Amino acid sequence: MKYIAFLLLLISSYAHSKNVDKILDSVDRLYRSDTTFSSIEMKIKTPNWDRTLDMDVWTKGLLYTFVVIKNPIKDKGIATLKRENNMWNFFPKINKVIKIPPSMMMSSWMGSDFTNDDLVKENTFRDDYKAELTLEDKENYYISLTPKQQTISIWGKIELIVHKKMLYPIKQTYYDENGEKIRTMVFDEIKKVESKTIPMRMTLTPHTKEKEGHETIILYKEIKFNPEISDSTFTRRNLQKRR
Amino acid sequence: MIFKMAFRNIFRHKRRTFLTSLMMLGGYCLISFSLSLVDGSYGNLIRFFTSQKTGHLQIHHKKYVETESIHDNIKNYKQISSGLSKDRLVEAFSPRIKSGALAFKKEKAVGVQLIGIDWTKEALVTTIKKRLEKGHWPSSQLKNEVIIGGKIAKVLNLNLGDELILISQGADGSIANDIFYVKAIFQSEDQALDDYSVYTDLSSAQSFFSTKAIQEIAIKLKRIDFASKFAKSFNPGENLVIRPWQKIEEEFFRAMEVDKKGNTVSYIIIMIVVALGILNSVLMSILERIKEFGVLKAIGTSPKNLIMMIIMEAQFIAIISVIFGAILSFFINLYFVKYGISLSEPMTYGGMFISHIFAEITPRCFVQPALIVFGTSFLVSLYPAFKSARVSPVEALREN
Repeated sequence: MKYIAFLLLLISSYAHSKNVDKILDSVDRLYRSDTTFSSIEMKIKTPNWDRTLDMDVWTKGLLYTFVVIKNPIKDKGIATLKRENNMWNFFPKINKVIKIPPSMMMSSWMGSDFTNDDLVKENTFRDDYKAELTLEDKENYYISLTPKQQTISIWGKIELIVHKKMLYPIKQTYYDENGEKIRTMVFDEIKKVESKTIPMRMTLTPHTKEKEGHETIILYKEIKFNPEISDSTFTRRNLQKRR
Repeated sequence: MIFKMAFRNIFRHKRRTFLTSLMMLGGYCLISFSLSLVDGSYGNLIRFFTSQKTGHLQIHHKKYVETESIHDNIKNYKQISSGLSKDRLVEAFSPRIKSGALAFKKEKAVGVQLIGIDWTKEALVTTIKKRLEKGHWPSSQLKNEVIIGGKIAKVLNLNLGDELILISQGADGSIANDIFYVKAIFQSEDQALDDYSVYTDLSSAQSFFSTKAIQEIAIKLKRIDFASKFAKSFNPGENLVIRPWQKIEEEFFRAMEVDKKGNTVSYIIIMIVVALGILNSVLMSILERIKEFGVLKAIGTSPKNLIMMIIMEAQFIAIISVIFGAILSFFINLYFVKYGISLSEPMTYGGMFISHIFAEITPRCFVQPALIVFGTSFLVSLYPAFKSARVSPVEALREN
């Protein structure tokens, strides 16, 4: 009897974890098919200044990302290439490629509240975090994630709210190792693009004291899944091309 | 009557008077010279500091002093500048913008401070224009011209006309990046402050940092002594502070004050030595005249008059010595103002390189020693005066 109960528990927990895996996988792959092309507007708000950047983004899998700024004119042509673990910025005005050293990974990317690490990171929720479904209501799943032992992460805990039916994220809350709330990301303006239903707007709000009054909003103006993108897009040569 | 007697007594024994006044004169010159040297060395340090970089006063946003953030800036420059140009105490002023940047030449990089200045105005406030080693002071027409410190030129192997790439954080969060051209290289005397400074014109720096504001106004007054007073009387406007050099370079100023206090001790020792010398010669000159005073008392001079007479004598000699001492020490000090004392080993003080100590002629170099000579010769003559006033004529006359 005891054995059966144990077996049952094992099976149910397996089924359960498989279910959570599926949710996480969906969130992980939401904006990332084999390849994507997107046109993004990034709005950065701080107490001292506001700024809007228009950019084009190409991605391939989790390993390759290429970003080019289109607007404002002053920053036009500034590009970022991420290849595996490396990241470079290119500044056309001074015709210079600058590699982002590991020590700069936590600094802001182009003055936004996103860090260089956010662009580079290859961690997936599914593979690199221990997940626990803490709550489930009619509409949403509430999942708590803690990094696995071998995962290198600056987060101590991430709380995730996922839409039950369409499996897109609604809110992500990031905590550091001391349990302090560092930032939240809110997803909205849900739209159906090709076969996927995705939020077109992400709002990142940092909660640390030095970032009081900061906010970064990313708006997808256009997103294409699985377009044909040549491998040469993700090369240093392409990075240094004047646009 | 007493006055006349005292006066005549001085010239009666010319050699004795001469010796006493020589003592006073020597003391006067010694004090005057040491004061002049103290004032000179600090005066020069202060002038170094204020003329190389800080100016006599600076205006900032009140938060800038702590944050040094590009966002804590001065927005009402026009208003302040019209206020400053009207003020009669102000000789010149210079608006500045400054922030850190990374300077590149090929693969070499070094952290620098980029300072945007008005080429014409800055040259009136600081000595930077005079310190150019190579190249010419830029005209305000061309953009993105820089002058750099000798050290950066060495580290990055830069020459006149070379490209210098600068990268920094813009005020709007953008990544500031641009190419600048080396127009001149200046010699950096003050190693701590100047080594990694890169100067460019205000508008180039403003567009580089994506801002329209400025961060600092350096002011030069007609006389540096007015700095503290001017800081109190001038109101730069809301959220802004004006600070005299004593506050800007507070660390340096404090170190200087401590140093000065240490000097007071050696200064007091010199004073005591001088006072003892004066005491010695005044005492001798009076004690050898005890018989004379006995006669004076015998013919009916009151002790009060006798005391007066002796004190007056001493003061007469003091007056003569001070007059000659002032003339003599003026020339001594003048020599050291011009040539200074060369230090066998140059020293650094507050980040500055000092190879010579120069004297300086200030009013207190003449007033203070004079007061000391008058004071000590008065105090010193009291004892023999009272002593001889009390002497009984019989005993005094019996001597010898």
